[in-house]
Amino acid sequence: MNILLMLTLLTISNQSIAEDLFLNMTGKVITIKIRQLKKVKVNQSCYESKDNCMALKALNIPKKKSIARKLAGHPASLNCQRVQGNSIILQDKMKNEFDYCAFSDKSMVNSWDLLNSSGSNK
Amino acid sequence: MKYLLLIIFVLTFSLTCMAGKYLAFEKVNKFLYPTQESQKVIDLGRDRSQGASGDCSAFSLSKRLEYLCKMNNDCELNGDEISPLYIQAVNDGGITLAPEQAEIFKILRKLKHNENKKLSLVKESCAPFAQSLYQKWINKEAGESHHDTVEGVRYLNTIYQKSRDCASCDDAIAKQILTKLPKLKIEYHEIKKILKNIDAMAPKEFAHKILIRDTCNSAKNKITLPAFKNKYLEEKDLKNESMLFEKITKLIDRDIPPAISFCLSPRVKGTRVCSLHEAVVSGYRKICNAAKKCKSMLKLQNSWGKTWQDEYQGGWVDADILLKYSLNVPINKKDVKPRKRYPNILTWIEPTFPNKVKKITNKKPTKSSIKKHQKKKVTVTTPQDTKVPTLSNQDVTSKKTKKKQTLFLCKKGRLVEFNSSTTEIFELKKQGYVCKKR
Repeated sequence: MNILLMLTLLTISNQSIAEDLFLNMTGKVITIKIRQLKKVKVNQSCYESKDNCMALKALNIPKKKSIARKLAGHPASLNCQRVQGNSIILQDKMKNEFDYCAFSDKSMVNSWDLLNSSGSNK
Repeated sequence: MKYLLLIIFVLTFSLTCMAGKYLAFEKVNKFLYPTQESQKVIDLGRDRSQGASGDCSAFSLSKRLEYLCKMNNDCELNGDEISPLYIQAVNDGGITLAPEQAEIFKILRKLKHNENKKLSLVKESCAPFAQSLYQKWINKEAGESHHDTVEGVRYLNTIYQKSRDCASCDDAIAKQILTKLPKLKIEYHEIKKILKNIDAMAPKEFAHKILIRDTCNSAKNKITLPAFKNKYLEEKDLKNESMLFEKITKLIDRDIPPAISFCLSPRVKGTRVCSLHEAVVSGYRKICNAAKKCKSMLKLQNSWGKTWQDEYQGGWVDADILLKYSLNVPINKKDVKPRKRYPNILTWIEPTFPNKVKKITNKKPTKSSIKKHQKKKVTVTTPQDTKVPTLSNQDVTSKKTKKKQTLFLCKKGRLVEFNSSTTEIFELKKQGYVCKKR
């Protein structure tokens, strides 16, 4: 029973994990706060707007069957473009790179989360 | 007890169901194979992303060349990296570097060699990949602009045509380029100079010149690599998956991370062509279950960012599946046909410099050999610190008590490590440690 309780607590705590990622702009670095919402990582503004941000709405766009092409790009970034988002690269403190999909309402979602759950929220 | 069993069942089931989303990538359930029999991993640094561009080969090559540099005492990266954008720009294909297009031999030939026949490559700090980011829109209110990782180079191609069609538009076009590609390092007057000579350039050359400034060719912006040979696995050695796996493990044991190309999706109908991808293999391991059933795994240093690496617990994929789709093209879910044997199914960079560090690391230090080295009395100092911290015998002993036995010493005025991977020595160098004779 204790284990079950621990797992529940872990699940709840996972929902509110926040981390800072950075977008390197010419001459300045913008900090972007990332939060976990509905098993996907989104930026703070999307997190606050709940279901109203474009990033979360994009999760409902049905997946297309991938077409074999000679040139294999980055599937998560390509999917981001398919749903009319902008594929951007953020960095953590260790300079590891993360792909995010940015939308015109300033909302962002992790491109891999977007790819993995595309159309699955319907 | 009931709950515990239920949780174990749910966990096991969910992990088993986490099959790879791409044909070549499959996770292995750790709970089903709890014992690890062997492992070797090479640290290739930070996880990078190629974005939506098809530059996997450029990223893979830059990672491998960086590691070659780290292996050699004469090659200093000083915290910098080799620019994949430069490698990509040198290639005739110019804009994208897919595995079957990236004839690595041709690329390396095209990359300029200096007088000593050594390869000199532009640093990431001078030609960052981010330069090709295209600004789709600006949110003035938030002071943010959003970029796209692939549109930039396409945009330069359209600009090329525009500029050729309008000779008097250079000013406007130069400004437009700087607005749309805000991360460009090139300056306004440099762009204007390039636009002036645009008639003599091909579109790819134009993009190259915008992304790789002339100043990047100066010595301070380049990394000169030690001598090496580019090698590939010949067709006669590509008979089956186990031969390929054996070759990979042998290379990794020699501290050489190879690059492997493989199919990500079923073939293009009626052909033997599939969506190809390339990544660096940075490790292998064998895991077994209680019944001694074992699975081989390979660690990939992919150019798909850290999220992908994390999803595969650091990039570990089932070796059998990966190698199957490296040698074959999937026809449907079950059937495969042998893949057309490009010479780049497995390629690697073979160092040809005498690797003194490696010679030492291959041996296990004996008591007498440790004593012999200790006689030299090593002093490790930082340049800023005049009070020299000494690496005494005691320090050596304390390091020996750690999991990995590591002994640092100075040899001919150079800091070398006695018994460990090259990563630690690199870290020490990065921290500014130098040798000082007593």
